[in-house]
Parts: sequence; C-alpha cells; structure tokens
Amino acid sequence: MLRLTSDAAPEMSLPQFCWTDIQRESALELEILTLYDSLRLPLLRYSVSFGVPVADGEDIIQEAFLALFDHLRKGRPRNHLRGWIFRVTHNLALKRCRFHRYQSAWIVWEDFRPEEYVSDELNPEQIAMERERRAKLLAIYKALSENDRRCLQLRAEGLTYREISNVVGASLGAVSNSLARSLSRLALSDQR
Amino acid sequence: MFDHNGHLTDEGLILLIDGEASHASADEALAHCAECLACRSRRTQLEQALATFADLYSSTINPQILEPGLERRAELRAQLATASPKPPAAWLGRLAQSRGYLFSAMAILVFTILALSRTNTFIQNRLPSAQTALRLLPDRALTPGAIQAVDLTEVCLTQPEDLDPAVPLSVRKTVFQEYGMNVAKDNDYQVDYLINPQLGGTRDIRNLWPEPYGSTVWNAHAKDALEDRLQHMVCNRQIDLASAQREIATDWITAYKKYFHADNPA
Repeated sequence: MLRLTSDAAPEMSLPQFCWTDIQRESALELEILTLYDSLRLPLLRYSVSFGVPVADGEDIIQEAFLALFDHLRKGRPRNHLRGWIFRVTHNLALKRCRFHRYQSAWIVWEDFRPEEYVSDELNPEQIAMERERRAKLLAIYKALSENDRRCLQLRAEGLTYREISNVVGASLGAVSNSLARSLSRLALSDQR
Repeated sequence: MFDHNGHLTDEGLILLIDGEASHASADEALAHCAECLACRSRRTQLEQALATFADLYSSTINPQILEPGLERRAELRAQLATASPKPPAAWLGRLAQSRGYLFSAMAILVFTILALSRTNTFIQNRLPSAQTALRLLPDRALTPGAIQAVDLTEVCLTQPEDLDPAVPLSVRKTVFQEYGMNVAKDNDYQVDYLINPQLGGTRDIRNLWPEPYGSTVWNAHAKDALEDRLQHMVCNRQIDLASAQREIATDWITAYKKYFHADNPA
C-alpha cells in the first residue's frame, strides 16, 4: 500500500482536487481510528453483555466501524456519532445472537467476581460488606428486563437519554421510566 | 416531577442527576431539594446506586483482553485502507470527466515520458533505491520500538547465538497488514524485532517490522551483526543500554556504519 504523506503531494504532481480527495480519505481513516481507540472498550463491554463471545464482540465492533466509515464517506450526518455506533453495535450483536442462538445475556456477568474489584485499602469487615453490597446489586441487575438492562448499561457508559433512545429504539419517556425503575431497585437494595 | 406528597419522584430526581430535566424543572427541583431533607437523601442514594453500578459494569471486561487490541486496530486500519477508493483510479475517473483536465493530464504525461527518456538511469537507479529505502528502515509511526525493563546482567548472560523468539504467524500477518504488504511476501521478508530481545526489545507489534532477507546488503544478516556488536559493547560498558536501544530503533543502518566504521556491511 502506498502511504501518502503530505510530502508526497508535490512530487506526485497530482491535481489539487485529487490530492484533496486523498487527504479527506486519510483524515476520515484517522477519525475512525481515533473513535475506535476511545470507544472500543465500551462497545466491547456492551456487545459481550448480549452473550456473544469476546472474539465475536471484536468482530462486531470492526463491522460497526467499517459501517461508520461508509456512512461518513457518503456525507451522511455526523451528529450523535457515539449513539450511532452504539446502535449499529446493538443491532449487529442482536443479529449475531439470533444467528448463533447464544442463550444467556449475561455470560460475562456470571464470570464476574465482585470481590476482585474491591479496593485493598478497606479493612476485612468493610471488604466483606462491599462484596455483599455488590453481589446484591448484581442480583438486582440480573432480575431486570432485558430492555431495562440495556438502558442502564448505556447510561453507565455515559450516553444521553436521546442516544439511549436511539440505540434501544424507545421513546425518551420510556428511557427515563426505565432508568428510574432500575435505579430505584438498585438504590433499594443498597439501603437494606 | 413531584408525587402526591409533594416530594420529587425517583424519575424526577434521576432526570435532575443526569442533567436531562428542562431548565425550569431543574430549577424547581433544586429549590425543593434545598428545603427537603428526604429528597436530598433520596438523591444521594440514587447517585450512589448509579455510581456503584457504573463501577461494577466498567469492571466486567478484564483489562487483560486489551492486549490484542493493537492487532484488532491494525486489522481495522487495513480494512479501512481496502475500503478506500484507489487514488489513481479516482484521479483518472475525474480527469475523464473534464476535457480541460484531460488535456492537462496528457500534457503532463507527454512531458514526463520525454523527461524520463532523457534520463535512462532513472528507472534503474532512482526508483529501486526509493523502494528499497521504504523497506530497509521501519515506518516510525508503525514501528517506533518497544522495550521492557531488563537488567544488565540479563543482557550479558544472553549468548550471541541465542535466537530471537519466533514471531507467531498471526502476529506476522498483522505486521504485513500494517505495512500494507501481501502476506505472500512472507518468504522474502523476515518479521524482525527492531530492538532485539537481547537488548530488551519486546514482542509488541510496535517493535516488529518486515525486514528484507536478501534483496539488499542492508538485510537481516547485517542487522544481526549490529545487534551482536551492540550487545558486546553494552556488556563491555562502551555504550549504555539505553543508547544502544535508541540508536538501533532510530536508524539501525546509521548505527551499523558508526559502530563498524564501514559504509557497507562486510
């Protein structure tokens, strides 16, 4: 592959409009890769929560970013790109789950050991309490409906209500209701 | 936002926490919270629940799986490059759409052919040397070099005949993709460590690049000789390890000329 740098432009004597095209493509590639760097982990976390294996999750993300590249090359709207890429990942993960008939939507959560993530700075009693607290939250999370879980996860990733509503295909009001329902339960469990 | 007892509902509080309430509603809710202990307390509970969940959720993916991220990134980069339209084709296509540009292009082409025909050696000398230069030194953006902390004793215990650890096929493939090369070139190129492991180089993809076997005197054998020389010099305290790593990573050919006092490998 010929790597085009800005130094190559005068030597190649390409017409200006052509060089602009190349620059635009390169800038777009760079933009996609920068977005990939910042969103890979959140998207991977989200896609594996559907029950797809991590390797499949990585494939889904690649596919989603290629779709984004195509989307932007065609000059389509570039507002709410984060919501857009989450939505594509959501749809691709669902499609793959249906195709491969992945059963559980929380395989990764089952493997999760809350105690591994508790700070060492706490005393043994505090650690035990923290573990218990997190285990309770996890149990509440698992008992939520699939849609509520998705909304909560996307909220935890920092998406706005509008972005969440675009990803899960629900109205703003439904997202707000869902989050209120889920967080009320989590807070209740935390109180006990 | 308020229930029949005059307190904020959970939904109202969450809208407030998330900054999703309208300005008017948010002002009203904040004013209420300032006066109402029960709502302030409930708000804190909801915020804590949300923070704990976010913490739990963010730890569901083990950071160890981030390791192959570079390979996946390289894969995406290669796919993006493939998906991009080929510049020369786009150029010709656009030229064909415009007579003016077509005329200019033809004039440039004729001029170029005339100029090249006057310089017979251009194609034989200049172009091959340019192509070779692309391969002799790694692309610094792709292969800046990567090291791990090593002890001098460790470096000096390694014997010169110790081979570099083999690079797995999947990693070799990724390196070729990064460099936009066909994997079929695997026979002509060795995926080599820029900073060799004996000098503390790691198997990180940023420390690997496709190095030609025999098409030039500046090949893998010459670099091996330099690696041995540098290791010897480091162990004899003629040069410190960091300098050796830096020189081999920056421009190994210049380093070879410097330490072998020769313009070409023996």
